[in-house]
Amino acid sequence: MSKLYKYILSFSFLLLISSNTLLAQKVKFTGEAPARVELQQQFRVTYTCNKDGDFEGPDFNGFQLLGGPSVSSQTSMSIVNGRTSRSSMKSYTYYLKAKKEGTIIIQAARIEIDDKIYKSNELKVVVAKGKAANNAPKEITNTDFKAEGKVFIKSIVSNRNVYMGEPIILTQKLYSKEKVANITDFKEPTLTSFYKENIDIGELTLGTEVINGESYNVVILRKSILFPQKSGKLEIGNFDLDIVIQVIKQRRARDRMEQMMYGNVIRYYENKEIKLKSPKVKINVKPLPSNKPSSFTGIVGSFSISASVDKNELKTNDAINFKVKIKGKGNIGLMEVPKIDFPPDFEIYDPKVFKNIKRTTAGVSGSKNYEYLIIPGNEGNFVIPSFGFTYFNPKTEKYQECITDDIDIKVLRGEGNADISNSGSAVSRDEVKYVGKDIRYIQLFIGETSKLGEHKFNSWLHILLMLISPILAILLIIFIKKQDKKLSNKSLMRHKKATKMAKKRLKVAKKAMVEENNNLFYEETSKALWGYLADKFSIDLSKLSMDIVKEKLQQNNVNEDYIIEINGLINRCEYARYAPKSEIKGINDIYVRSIDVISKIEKTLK
Amino acid sequence: MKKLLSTLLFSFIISFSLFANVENTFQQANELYSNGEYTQAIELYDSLINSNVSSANIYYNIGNSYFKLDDIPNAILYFEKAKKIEPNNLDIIYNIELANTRIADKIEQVPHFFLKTIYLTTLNSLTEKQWTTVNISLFIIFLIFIVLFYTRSTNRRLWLSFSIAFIILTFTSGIIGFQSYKQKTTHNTAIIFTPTIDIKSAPDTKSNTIFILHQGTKITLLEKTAQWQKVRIASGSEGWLKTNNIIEI
Repeated sequence: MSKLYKYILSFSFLLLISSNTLLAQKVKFTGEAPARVELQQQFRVTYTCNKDGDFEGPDFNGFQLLGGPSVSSQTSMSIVNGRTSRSSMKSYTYYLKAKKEGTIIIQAARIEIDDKIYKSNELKVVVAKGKAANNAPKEITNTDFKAEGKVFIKSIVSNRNVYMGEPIILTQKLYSKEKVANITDFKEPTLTSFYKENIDIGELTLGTEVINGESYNVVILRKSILFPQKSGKLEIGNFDLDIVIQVIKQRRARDRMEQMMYGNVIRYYENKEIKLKSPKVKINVKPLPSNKPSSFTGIVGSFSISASVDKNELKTNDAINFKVKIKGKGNIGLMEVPKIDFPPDFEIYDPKVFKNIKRTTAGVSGSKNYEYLIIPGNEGNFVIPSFGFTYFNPKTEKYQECITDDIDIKVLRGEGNADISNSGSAVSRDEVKYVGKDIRYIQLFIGETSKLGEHKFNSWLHILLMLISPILAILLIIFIKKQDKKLSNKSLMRHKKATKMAKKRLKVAKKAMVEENNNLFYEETSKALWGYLADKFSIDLSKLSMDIVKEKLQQNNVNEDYIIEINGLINRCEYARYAPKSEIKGINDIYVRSIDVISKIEKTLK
Repeated sequence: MKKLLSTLLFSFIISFSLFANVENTFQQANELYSNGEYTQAIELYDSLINSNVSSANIYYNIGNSYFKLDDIPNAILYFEKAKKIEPNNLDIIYNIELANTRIADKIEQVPHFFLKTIYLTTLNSLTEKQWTTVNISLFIIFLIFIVLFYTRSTNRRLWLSFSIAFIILTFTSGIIGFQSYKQKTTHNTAIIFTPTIDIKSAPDTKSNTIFILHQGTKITLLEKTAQWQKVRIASGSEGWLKTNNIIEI
């Protein structure tokens, strides 16, 4: 039931429409395309039909289909002399890009209206090898809107030939001769190998600029600072901008009323949305000179550094504020905290960092401040050694170093510490801190030198000494032996001459006996006996004593009787010499017995 | 006679002035070193060596300069040269150890048999010159006892045993001294100077790579062909490499 109802309803509705329009108008279906395009150029093909129907687009052989069909409809109603006329238009738009050179015919599109197929006209497009294909600034992509040279966007760089890390100011501008109603979309350019910082330019302001004698309204869309991070040929990609412009259009007055109100020609604004694409910008980035110091970390610009403390003298466990200030122009944002070799006894807290970076059309400049809180633990004189960093100055094309001065800090003993050390219980003791490792210092004196390749071992001196010393030793032995022999010869002589000497002395004694000089006799006899014994055993007279004589005689196996005999004789002589009255009677007897005992001992000793 | 005396005196003066010149150059080089001009310092030290002067301290200072220039293989080479002359110098030993922490290869030292350790420490406790002196003096003491033995009539057994003991000591010191001498005259160690080098299993580029060494590593040299050298590293591994990759100590 309901199906039937619906059917009837739709039918009657259809009847109603057709009674009004279908009969009144014929189907009008046309295609429209630019007659001439350039290679790689984008353009639109539009089919318009004054009736609704199933639209079927043609094959766009030889073109690249970028998009479409986008459908838009337009209805207009006009009342002329009380008669209402109504027209509706439906348009199907394709976006195409020319890919091939030559004349290309686009086949007719088809539309089916009320079971009837209508065809549009065939379109003829001439694709020419345009200068646009090679020429870089192809500002306007929207060909439908014939505004070449009227609206375009551009990327402007401050410097196309820079060093790595040197800032470039990129200005993106919109040039227009038409009235810009709105900016609907802005797409950033693709930036590889760049570090980018935006400059705040406030609200968009309008200016004018004259290019090739024609003045344009100019809007600076964006300003940014680029830091190339890589050397070589880099590219700032194109950026896209979608804007709506108002185009003044003219048409004739449709009817008298309009004619009365606005005149024959009516001017009106039409909003057109156009897409703009900026050309790419090539930038030559020179690599930094190769003599890079090791302390260089990629900072380019010109900088200065300073360091200060709030006091140079303090007590232990007080705090000092240590400030480091880095100022300059360049990529200061990339800068890291310089490495500071604080004395190891200092307690260092993480620094507070204050950044003040200005991004202006002149580039990035500003300062970075680091504030350290330092608490020295021990008393003494300390130095915060100078530190700094190396940067590349593109103006002088040289690496430059900026460093701080050494800062002396005198730490006195704090009161708190004094108390502790007075009590004597705990003096804070730390292990010796090894801060770094390095090789030992060079030797200051040359020390022992020798000729290259000269060796002490196996040298001629070594061999000579080894050969000479045994010869010397042998010579020494021979010498000593000879000396010994000589000595022994001397005693032999004495030994041989002993009897002779004794006899000589006894002769003197005999003479004294004859002269009755008793004293002389005893003296000579005792001398003869002693002398004989001393010569025999090669002992000095002064060292001779009766005991030694007895021993020596016993060693030499002399008869015990003779020992007693000679002993007795010596004793009698000694006694007689020092006795008050000399004994004359036995003189002869002593003399004979002395000769006798000497000859007897001589026999046994031989 | 007078002529001879004057020639002697003259030669003495010459040698003295030469020595003064050497000391002067050495001091100049030291000054360059302390000013951080290491390359120039090396040139001056080298000029001393080129004029046939050899001293452990010159080699040591060259090693230091190379170390400061971050040329670790050369630094190690010169430290080792210095160590060869003065094996018991603590400064040299310390710097070699430190320089070895800067090279890529860390090789575990195979512990020696304890007798070898004793032998090596004895060998390295004295320089070659000192060993020579010890050798000669021991020999002289031996000779003194021999003289005593032959000339004295008393205590002869004591003198004999002393002289036997000292002739043994003389021989021992002679052998050790000879080893020390041999160590200095033969080049049996070297330093690798190629950044990375494959150690092959045979003297042939197509043979297998056994292990890989890097510059600065000390190696012991074994047998040799025209272009190839068999080497051993501290861990005991052996292999072949081309001779142009190494510099002998």
